[in-house]
Amino acid sequence: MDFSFTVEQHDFAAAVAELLRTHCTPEHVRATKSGFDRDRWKRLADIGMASVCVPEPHGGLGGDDLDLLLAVEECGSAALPEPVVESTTAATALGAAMESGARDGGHADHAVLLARAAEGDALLTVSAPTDPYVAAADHAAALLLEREGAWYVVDRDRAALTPQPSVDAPRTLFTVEWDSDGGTLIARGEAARAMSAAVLNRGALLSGAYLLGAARRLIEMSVSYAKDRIQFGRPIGSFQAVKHHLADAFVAVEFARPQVWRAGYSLTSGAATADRDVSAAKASASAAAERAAAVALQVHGAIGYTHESDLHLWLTKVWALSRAWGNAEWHRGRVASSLIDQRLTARLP
Amino acid sequence: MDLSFTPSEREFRAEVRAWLAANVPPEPLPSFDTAEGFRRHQDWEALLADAGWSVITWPTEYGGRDASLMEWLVFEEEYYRAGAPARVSQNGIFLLAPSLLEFGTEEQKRRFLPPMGRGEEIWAQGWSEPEAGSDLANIRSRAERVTGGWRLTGQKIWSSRAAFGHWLFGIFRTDPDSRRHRGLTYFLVPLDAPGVTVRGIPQLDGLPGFAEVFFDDVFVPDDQVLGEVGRGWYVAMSTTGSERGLTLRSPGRFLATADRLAALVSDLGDGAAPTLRDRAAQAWIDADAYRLYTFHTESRMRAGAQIGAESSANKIFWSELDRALHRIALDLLGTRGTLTAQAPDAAEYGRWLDGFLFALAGPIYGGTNEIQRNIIAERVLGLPKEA
Repeated sequence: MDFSFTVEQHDFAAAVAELLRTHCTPEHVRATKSGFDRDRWKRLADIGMASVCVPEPHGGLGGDDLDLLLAVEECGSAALPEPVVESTTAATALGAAMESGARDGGHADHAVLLARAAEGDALLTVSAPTDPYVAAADHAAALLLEREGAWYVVDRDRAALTPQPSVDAPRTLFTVEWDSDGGTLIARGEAARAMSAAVLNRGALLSGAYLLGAARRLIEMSVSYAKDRIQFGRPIGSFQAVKHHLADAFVAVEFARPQVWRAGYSLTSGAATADRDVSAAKASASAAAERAAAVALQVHGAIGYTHESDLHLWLTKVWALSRAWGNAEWHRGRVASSLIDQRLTARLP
Repeated sequence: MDLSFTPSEREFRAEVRAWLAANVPPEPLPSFDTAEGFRRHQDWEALLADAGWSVITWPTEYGGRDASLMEWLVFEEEYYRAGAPARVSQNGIFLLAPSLLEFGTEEQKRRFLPPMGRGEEIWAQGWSEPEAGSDLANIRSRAERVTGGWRLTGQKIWSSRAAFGHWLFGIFRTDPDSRRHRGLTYFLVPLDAPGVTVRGIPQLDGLPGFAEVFFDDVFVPDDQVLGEVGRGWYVAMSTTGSERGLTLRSPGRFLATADRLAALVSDLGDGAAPTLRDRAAQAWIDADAYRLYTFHTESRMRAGAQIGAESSANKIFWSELDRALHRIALDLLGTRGTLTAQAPDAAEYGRWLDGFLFALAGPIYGGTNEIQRNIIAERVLGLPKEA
């Protein structure tokens, strides 16, 4: 049993964190009104963020989810506005479709598209099987969309996008309308079902990793505030009521993290329990992040309720991503169905 | 990352499973908080010890088999999965033994460890006092220097297993001018020594699971002092560190309970309300999470890390998990869940009520969860101490 990451995986996450410290400060996040900064995305792509899970023949690094988890947590810690969850999930799905030869008809365009995505020159996004809206569709060159049991690549210009402004403004959401002849079929039948499952699991896993980072940062900010803020002549962080809120949020995040890691391992190794492991991870990460967000707002008091405070940059991310890709209840339902309806209680490891 | 067991760990698991299948009593033993049950549990400990399963992580010379932490975690999973008897020797083997191995003299280890491992001498803990509960450093029981040893005076309370046990480990104030954590010393005291009075205290289930222990000028020789005189707090904290950390409540017991809970919901079918189904799934996930967190800790420890204040997170998590698992089961069972094991309709369900009452103590003993939250806030998060 080795529950640790490789030196390379740690180094990659550290490089991402370092880049974000310079290029994704709260001021930068605030300034990214559109939700997408091409320069920052290109810089992230330059160190491999957009290509980790793209197969090598298509210009990627041929890595897997475990190579990404720590780095995505760093993205959450920085409240990175760019849609790292959706773009990575889309690129991985397209890469897998091309690798398995499941695409219908020759589409050299897709090879070019994937290579450009890996370079950070084009953005891909994907519809989450659990959600009615597509994130970041306005910034994407192409969208991976499911219709009637088949998956298509749809050129952004061939789709009609209706904006659905949400509480997390930088994470733009859209209703997408498109004609089937405007899309290129990449999977149908069994291959399409497998793609739906893979897309859902990967989106849930990566949004879980992002939420861990956001929750961690919310706790750090709140601890820092509680040390500085004086009331009744002492730091509010010396009061047990405040300490216990923060300790509970910390415990929730610490116990969610190994679940997210195990889910990454399950997906990577094709484990029989992968669906259930991913759902347990997303349920726990969503709940832990919601708890951290609620505690952070309470500890900050009125200042946290303002736009002036940076806190909202993380709060809104948590509110959005804890629900995207299936909320805690949806995922617990999937766990319950496995445990209770199918009586499958064998665990990994 | 490689989340798999080695071939030798798998072999070890199979060996444990086979032995337990052949030896676990088919009928549950009477509670070890009765005279009869206590004796029967001691017999079980002897059986375990004869087969080398009672204290597997100890060095072989004291009755163990030098097992790794991972092997111990595997053993625990199998132990609870098999529904094996509760460990009447747990205070000794999980709380005292780590301190004995770290601070004891060779003579002390040879004297105390083997009979502890065989369940022949059952140990009670003597930490709390009437005026020293969460505020444990407020200990007033004292020990006075006399020729060849010490004379102990005072009172301990909430001493688990003291009602029927043989020995007590506890801390007493040896420096009368000292305050708080200083000037305390760790003693090993036979409960049949002249001047010791034990009075059992019935718990919520009516049985004397703990006791108050009075010390009236009790002589204890020098060779029953563990560690340095005046360093008792330090020695004791090493044991509560193990208690909160890993060794007292391994994931195994909660995994077994969680699987029984999932089976209960399955068996009830449409009789299980959707909200209870959801809560059961959450509790099962949490038991699984505790296991993963523990494996992660094990990996860190093998890489050289020490477990420190974060073991407080563990204690909060498992104690609240245990309470949730049993509360959900009682909610699923309705009035039937409130029947004791003696009720004709209780069948195996009486176990849930027993487990529920036991679980309610979890957030209180071993340092209340409020104390654990303070430790996390101050030592992990770095928040200031209370003024």
